[in-house]
Amino acid sequence: METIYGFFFLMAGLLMLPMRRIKVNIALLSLQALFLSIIAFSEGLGSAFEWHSVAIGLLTLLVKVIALPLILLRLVNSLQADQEKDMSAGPIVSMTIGLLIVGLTFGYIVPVLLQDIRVGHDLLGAAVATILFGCFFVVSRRCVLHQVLGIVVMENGLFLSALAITGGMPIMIELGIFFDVLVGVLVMGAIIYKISDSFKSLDIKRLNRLRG
Amino acid sequence: MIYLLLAAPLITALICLFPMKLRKWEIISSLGAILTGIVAIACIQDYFSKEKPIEHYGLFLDGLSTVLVFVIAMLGMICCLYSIRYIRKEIERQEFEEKRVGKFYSLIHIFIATMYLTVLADNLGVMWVAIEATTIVSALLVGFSGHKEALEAAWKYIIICTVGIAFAMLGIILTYYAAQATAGEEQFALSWHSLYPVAHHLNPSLMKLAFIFILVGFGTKAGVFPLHTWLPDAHSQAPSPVSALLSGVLLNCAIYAIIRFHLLTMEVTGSNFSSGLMILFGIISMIGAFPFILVQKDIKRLLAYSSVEHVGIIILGIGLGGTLGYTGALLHLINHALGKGTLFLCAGTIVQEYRTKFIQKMQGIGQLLPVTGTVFLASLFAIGGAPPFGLFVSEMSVAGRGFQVYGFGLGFIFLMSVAIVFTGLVYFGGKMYFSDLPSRFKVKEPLTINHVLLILPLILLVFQGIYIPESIQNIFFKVVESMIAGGGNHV
Repeated sequence: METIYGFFFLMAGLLMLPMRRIKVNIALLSLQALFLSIIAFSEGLGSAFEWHSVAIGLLTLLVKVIALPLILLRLVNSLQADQEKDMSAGPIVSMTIGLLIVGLTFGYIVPVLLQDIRVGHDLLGAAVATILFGCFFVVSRRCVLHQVLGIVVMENGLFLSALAITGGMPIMIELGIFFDVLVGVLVMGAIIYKISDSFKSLDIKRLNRLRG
Repeated sequence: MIYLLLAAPLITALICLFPMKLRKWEIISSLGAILTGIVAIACIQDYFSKEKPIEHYGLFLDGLSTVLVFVIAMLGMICCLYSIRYIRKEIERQEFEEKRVGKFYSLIHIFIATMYLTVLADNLGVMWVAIEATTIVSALLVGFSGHKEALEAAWKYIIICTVGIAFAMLGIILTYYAAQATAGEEQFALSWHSLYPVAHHLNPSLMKLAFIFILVGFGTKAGVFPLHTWLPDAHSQAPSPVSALLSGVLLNCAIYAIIRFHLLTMEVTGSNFSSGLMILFGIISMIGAFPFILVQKDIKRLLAYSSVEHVGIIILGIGLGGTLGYTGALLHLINHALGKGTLFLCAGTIVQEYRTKFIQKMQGIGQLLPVTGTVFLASLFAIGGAPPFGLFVSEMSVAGRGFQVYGFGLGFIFLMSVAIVFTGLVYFGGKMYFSDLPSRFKVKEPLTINHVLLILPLILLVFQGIYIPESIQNIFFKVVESMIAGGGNHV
């Protein structure tokens, strides 16, 4: 069952790659986080009740499925930034690279590079691929808002890998990470406001004053 | 006691958030900075009188963290006190709005608190969270002035470091997985001092993989060469006291995290795997930085690239290991913090007087600012590694260890790149100091408290180069001994 959720989690990330509209991307991000929280719930409520996984699931639901997308949507609305944004790589190229990442992860990284980790399900592959998606997303986008989304995608991938590899980090640390993500996005939002104020644009091509 | 070290800056930060007169903000910030400094010194004192690590609900102060606490305390205090005149001048120049000053002081104290948490946290995860928090807080400080360049620097900084540090988290997750098999109870599996004793039970190939992620992740934050791209931007655009903190302390906090993992990985694998990687990255950072130093036009970027080089030296020293390597690296960590901190603060004053960051336009600093200019030139010599300053001693130790372990080649490369950087720095320094002052400037520099703050670290540097008291030497040897033994037996 978890493999299926993992598959959906992966697909949500993969579909984000070719999408230009930022609101579609935010919706997909929220969907991805939803599958993350379902995975956490199914680990916590499966064979035996584990309050730890359930707590993570609840937190994910509150912070990443509801709060973060709302914050991001507010940001998009107030900046009126929901036009189609330029990308450094086109949709078809992005999708191809996404598929390559999936192939690389399931064909090489997980079976060869991470062979010492024996977890017995495919969640790890989905997690690693999602981290790489996030990385690619940050690099390939030219809009600062998209870059924030990419970072949240990476963070989702990290969370799933923590769940997949270790069954979840100690709860104090998970809380710390949630807090960091939330504050981080808020701070990035604040900087984006200032950037849009003084550059009159959200394109990182304009951020080219510092060289050498 | 240790908790007070986190509480003092946080409470100061909280009070500074309230709207009040500029004068009151200044008083509160200075009092908070001095209080934090005193608490830090008291903690260090406490540690030495007991001669064993202080442990307190998740915080842990041992020999290695004491070194870092000392650095944070010194620079934190100096930078906070220095900010007062600096900020007033910025308000005069209409760079800052007076009503936002409280926010600035508040952020700088939170920044200091997160750095203390980084070096005091016993838990790897908490340390990661603290390092990420330093990024978030200092990004706001970097972009504080709101200029286009500053915003660009802040954006690059927060994005690059957040992406980088995500990989460090992957390394921590792998370590946790390796430890789960042995340590059992989850709370303890991620604490430094409970990991070292069980190190030989951990899976070596997993730890190697984890170390690669850690080196990439925290290496980004430390400004190791190919990952350093955020560093010159952020350091040059931040207000000068913040640049001093970024360069002198924050980089060291990231290096501290790498050192801890390096010691653990050595203990687990029983091989030189992690040392080899660190030597490689150290050399690359040193060689990679000097072309940028030689052709630099912006004074603060020059200093920033010099930081990349010095991070390389420290990482190289740690990688080489042994008594000489570790002693050199730790001394260098302190010396670089003191020297580079002073340089950034001087540069701040110089930039304010000349209203430009371009080296070409800063002529006759020795005539316009006799004290600051002279301190600046002396610190440039110090950072370049000239005797009688402490950096000469620490660089020589690292070079000596290089010759000892890898023979002629490594030591030669090391000395050559240090020499080239030295010529570059002295060339720029000489041009700025000994040229004639353009006639439009009026010469006057009344002595202020800020000059004392600049001269104090310089005196410490001279002392370290000439004579280190025996008690301090003993402390150092103990820290180094515990590092050689693998970090397990704490001093």
